[in-house]
Amino acid sequence: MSSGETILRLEKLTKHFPVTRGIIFQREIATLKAVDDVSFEIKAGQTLGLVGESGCGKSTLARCIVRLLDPTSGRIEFEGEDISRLSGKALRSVRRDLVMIFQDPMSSLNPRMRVSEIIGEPLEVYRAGTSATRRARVMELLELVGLNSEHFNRFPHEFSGGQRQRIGIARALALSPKLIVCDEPVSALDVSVQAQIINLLEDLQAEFGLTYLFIAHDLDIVRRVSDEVHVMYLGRVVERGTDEDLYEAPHHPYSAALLSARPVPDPDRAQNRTHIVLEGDVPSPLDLPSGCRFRTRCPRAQPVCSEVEPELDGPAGIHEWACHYPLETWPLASPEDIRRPGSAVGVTEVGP
Amino acid sequence: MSMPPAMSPIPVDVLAPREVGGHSAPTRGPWALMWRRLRRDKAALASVAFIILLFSFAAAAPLFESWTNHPQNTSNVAGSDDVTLLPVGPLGGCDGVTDVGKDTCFILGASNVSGHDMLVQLSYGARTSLFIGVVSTAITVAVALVMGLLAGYSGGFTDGVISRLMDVVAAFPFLLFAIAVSTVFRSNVWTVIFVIAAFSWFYPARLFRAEVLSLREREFVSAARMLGASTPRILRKHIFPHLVGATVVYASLSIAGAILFEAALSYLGFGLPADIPSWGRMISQAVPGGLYRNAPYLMIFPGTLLVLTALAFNMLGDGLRDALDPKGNVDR
Repeated sequence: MSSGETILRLEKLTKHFPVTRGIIFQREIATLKAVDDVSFEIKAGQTLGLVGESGCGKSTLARCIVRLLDPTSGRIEFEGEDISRLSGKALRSVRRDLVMIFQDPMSSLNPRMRVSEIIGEPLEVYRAGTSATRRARVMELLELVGLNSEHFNRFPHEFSGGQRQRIGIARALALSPKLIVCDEPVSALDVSVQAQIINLLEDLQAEFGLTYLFIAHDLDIVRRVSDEVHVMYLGRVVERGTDEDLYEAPHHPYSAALLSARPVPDPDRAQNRTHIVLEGDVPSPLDLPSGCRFRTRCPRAQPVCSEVEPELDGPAGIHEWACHYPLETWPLASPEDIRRPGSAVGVTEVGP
Repeated sequence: MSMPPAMSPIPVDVLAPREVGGHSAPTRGPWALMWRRLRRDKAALASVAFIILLFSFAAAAPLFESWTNHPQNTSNVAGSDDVTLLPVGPLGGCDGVTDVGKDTCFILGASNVSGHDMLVQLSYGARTSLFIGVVSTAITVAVALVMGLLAGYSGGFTDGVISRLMDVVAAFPFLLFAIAVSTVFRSNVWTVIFVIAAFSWFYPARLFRAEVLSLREREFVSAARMLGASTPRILRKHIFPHLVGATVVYASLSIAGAILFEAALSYLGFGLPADIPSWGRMISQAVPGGLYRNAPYLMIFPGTLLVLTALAFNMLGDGLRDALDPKGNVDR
């Protein structure tokens, strides 16, 4: 696949979890809408960043894409083929090219297996090569991710968090995949180790032309690695754009609030910037607000927001947002600037 | 597999054994760690020693038989005192005139009910107890593993059906059923084993199911699925190895339970037929007419052996549980 072609396209991907009751015969009592109508595409060799707070459906989306979960509806086109309904052999052959790196390097490695078995597992599953070539490949992968061959026979508990994440990356790379879904690959690590892992992922991308779907809640890391960023809120993409557009001129009040909350490594700038603090909690995905999902916490909400759900709008493929009353200016001079007259929701003032 | 061209060819020296520099502590597998801990547990080691002795005692049964010249299933008239009609006590008949070990000498005494030599009976009884304990435990654990894995990993309807089945078995009056089976069928070693296994699998199965339920949600299982591993492979490589510890511990405890249960059934007269030696029946033979008041050894020898055997398997089980505990201290 040459660079620039679409490798993954999601079309109205939806994942609802039924909440059931009953011992043997279960009946559905509610529906948890974890991912609702998400569409996007990733071009080969690029990185798409996905941000959002805990519980917004990022991980569910990732698990649907690698088919650890079965989507409720919608299409997942991988290299032009809809894989959302595949199973058995057909799914297995897709899995060689589409892998995932997990968030928690402690629990994503089987504590009873040696490093050689963990990294060699995909090779064994697909019966790739002889045991000697598999062994050689594991050695090569260890060096590729910055570990060395004497780690071959160790157990996961003998490694630090960063080293374990490297083992997870080596396992993902074993069969030379095309797309890697990174589900918060660095959020369980120290800041200094985060940088090493990010560098490793970038080096690997440059070397092997990998495509990443990079999920995180750290806006700065996502900006650093991504060509395009999507912001999710309660199962929907509320704003998307190239990193420059989105970070320098957010249009959705939610993106603006997220951006204003990120730590600034400069005391002078940190003092002067405006800090938008949203009120209330994220509504339950079991009982979503009518209209715009963000309206219960939005300082710009108007009556229409509770009636009509906004669709993504704006320059298609460049910068789109799903809001009836998008922001026009950024940065804001004061937190009150985000407010629109008539909105019932306020903004908490935070002193410097 | 064809390697992508982008990957560098593998340097040859990677395959050669390389000099490992600096500190490189030998890597220990879970079993090596377990053995290190078990070695420091004196009670568990004593249990292991006792269990080895017991197996040797059981294995040596034919030797005792030929040495004493008291075949296991023939009555020895010499076993009772001619005047009192009481059984001879320990060392009875061993007066030093007769050759020791020949015909009239009963080292651990004899039973006047069956006329059997106690020593020979005890060692054949050990065979029965160990056989029933080990075989019924093997069946129990195998059934429990299958049920636990099936219920825990598949979840949903299958889990519901198996879990309710476990509840039903748990609610069943175990002893009454065992008595009923032994009156309907002519009981032998296998019916006793069947009854024990049929009513003990639910307990370890519940343990395994709970364990599998939590293992199934661990990310390394998702990772294996994501990599395309089949369900049998996941069960074998990722789930089962985590159950081995619990299985070993449970098996050890379960052997003790099965031995005690067989003894209880035989004591009540619903266990093994009279031609199969059993510690439980040996104890029961001392009861009628208050025989144990005149010949307490009839109860003391099999009773002590039974208690020690159950204790040894239980202490070994406890020792194994501590040794396999991942949070345990290596250098305790």
